Amino acid sequence: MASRVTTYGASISFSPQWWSYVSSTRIMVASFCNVQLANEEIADKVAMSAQELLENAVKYSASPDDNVTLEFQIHEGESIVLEVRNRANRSQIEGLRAHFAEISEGDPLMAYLARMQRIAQNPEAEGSQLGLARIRYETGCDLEMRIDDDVITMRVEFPLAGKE
Amino acid sequence: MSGFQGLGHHGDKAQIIVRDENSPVTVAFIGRIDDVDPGSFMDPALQSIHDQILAAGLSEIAADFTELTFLNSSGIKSLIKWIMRQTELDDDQKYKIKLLYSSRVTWQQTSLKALTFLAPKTVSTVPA
Repeated sequence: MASRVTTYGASISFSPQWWSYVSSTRIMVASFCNVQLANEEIADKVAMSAQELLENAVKYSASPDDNVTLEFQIHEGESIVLEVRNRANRSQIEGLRAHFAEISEGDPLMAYLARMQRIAQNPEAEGSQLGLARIRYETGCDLEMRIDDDVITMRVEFPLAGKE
Repeated sequence: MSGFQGLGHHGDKAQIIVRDENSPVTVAFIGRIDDVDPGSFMDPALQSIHDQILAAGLSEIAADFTELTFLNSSGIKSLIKWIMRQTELDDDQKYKIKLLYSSRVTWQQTSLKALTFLAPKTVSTVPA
């Protein structure tokens, strides 16, 4: 008999002017994962990724009137899928495309170290631009980016132990 | 050593304090660092601590992250700036930084380990 995949999840939307919801959402995601999976390591990774993706979505949203949205689903025994969406203006989208291409190349640790070295060389530059490289390095998962008109969707899929 | 001054805080969410009752002097990061601009309190606190380490002529300190539940990438940026400040010193002024982490907290292991690559001769990680 074929096994049945059970899916749990949640979707949260909020205005980018409410920064405090970023950390509240991270804490909720961590708690949800811990309850469902009893696995602190994967909960830590998903929660960190949620925080970094939401921080970017909030910082680079086109307007306070356009909500940012986080969706995550636990496909039991298969994977956890995390998606964060926001609207952005054209220049932000082009900047993100270039940044994403840069951090997606090569070894994740080397890409992360390159970002850290850039901060070391220019510590007063605005922002850290570490978040995406950090996710790739610390989770071992690849990021996917989708752009539909002015909507950016960032996606991370975390395989779960037990997946065949 | 006593009388080490060093305190940075951000409301009731995060604190950076110095514990100097024992050796090595320990910089403890407490709470959660997840604000939009943690550098506004971390940078001045770490600059002050750095200056006092030099004034006291310390050769080693510990940075304890075991009481920190989260550190965002903007907070990591502040740590990078602190580490780089130390690497730019003359050899006789350089001090070692031991990053203490909890082996139960995934981000502490991975995030802090990555920082050691910036200054492998002077920055190391140690499980608490």
